[in-house]
Amino acid sequence: MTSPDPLQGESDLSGRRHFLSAAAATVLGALVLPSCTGTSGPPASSPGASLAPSVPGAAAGAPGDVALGRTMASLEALAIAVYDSALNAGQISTPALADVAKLFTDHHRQHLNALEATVGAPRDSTQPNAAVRRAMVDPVFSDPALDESKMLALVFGLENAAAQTYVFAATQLTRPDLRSTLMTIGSVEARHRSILGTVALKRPAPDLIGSGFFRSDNPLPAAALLG
Amino acid sequence: MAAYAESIELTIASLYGLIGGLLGDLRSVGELFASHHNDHAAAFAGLAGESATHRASNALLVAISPRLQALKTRADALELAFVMENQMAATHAFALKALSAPDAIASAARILPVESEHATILGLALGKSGTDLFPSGAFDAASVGEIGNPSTGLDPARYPPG
Repeated sequence: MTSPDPLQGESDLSGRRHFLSAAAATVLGALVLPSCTGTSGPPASSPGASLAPSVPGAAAGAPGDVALGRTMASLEALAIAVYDSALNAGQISTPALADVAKLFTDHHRQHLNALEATVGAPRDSTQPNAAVRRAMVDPVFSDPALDESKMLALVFGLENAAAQTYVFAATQLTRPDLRSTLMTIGSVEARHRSILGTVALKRPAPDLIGSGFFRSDNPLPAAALLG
Repeated sequence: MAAYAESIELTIASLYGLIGGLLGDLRSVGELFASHHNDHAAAFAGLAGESATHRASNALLVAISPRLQALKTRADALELAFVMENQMAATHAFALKALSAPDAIASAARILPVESEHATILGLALGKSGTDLFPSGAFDAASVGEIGNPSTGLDPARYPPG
């Protein structure tokens, strides 16, 4: 039985496949590979900062919180679609790596469902993030020379971007409970990143975690942030 | 909470010094992770202001001590560090439920995934795979308890700073 390609549907992926060169895909793929940890140094300190429990003044339904939750859900949906497509097409076929991809897909499904519940969206109703898909995924899937190593670089890049976006979101959210929940997901994306970086891409620890601090700036195109 | 975070970061940084001799070819990785924890401690000390102790948690060191004395092999040392790193990550997730100052939130959010990655790399070095690398499943833990359980953080009431 052939599984449907979760990246098809609204995609123009197959039609564009022959227009894009492997070189272009490589360059675009490289854009997403820099480490999440790093360059901006430790956070500015704030002596005497309040550590008391905050009042959830903006509480449930704050527009920014909902938008961030929807954005994160769309990244989870995109990750699921990419892993499913890669597994179904045999683009991640090394047995140990396929097992890893299946486990990560299961994690992303749990994350998606948790986020949908948080923002009040029906289960499995979230569409993959279109802007991130255009920027990161389509060029790789359009590569006629797509192989396992390129697919692994893509999913590493997606996990990398997702992990950093969760950190960004945590600094923007108004609800402490939501902040904690999102970071219990974001830190799992970071675990994914480190497993892929170590096992699949063979990057040594100092290269993978060069700094003690994840970046907290938004790594996504502006259009990727949903309203 | 920042003073607490500073003290447990200093504790785990010192842990790597104590187990370094058992880590063999991973000693430099332990030194890297220790340097991260010292950086984290400095960030939290800045947030804690006058509450900062600039010392490891004595209560946590006492709790770790019997485990340190029982270490015999590289795998023992890696397993202890693996558990502690998971507990550090969970502690920061727990803290995020209470923090309100933007700088404190940013610090915890930026540090938490690094400690999760430390745990994962140590787990890989131990030969763990699949679900064993995720002690709390698809969601990292955000509750606290006693030392030794990789699925909970470290309870500030049990291991106070200083």
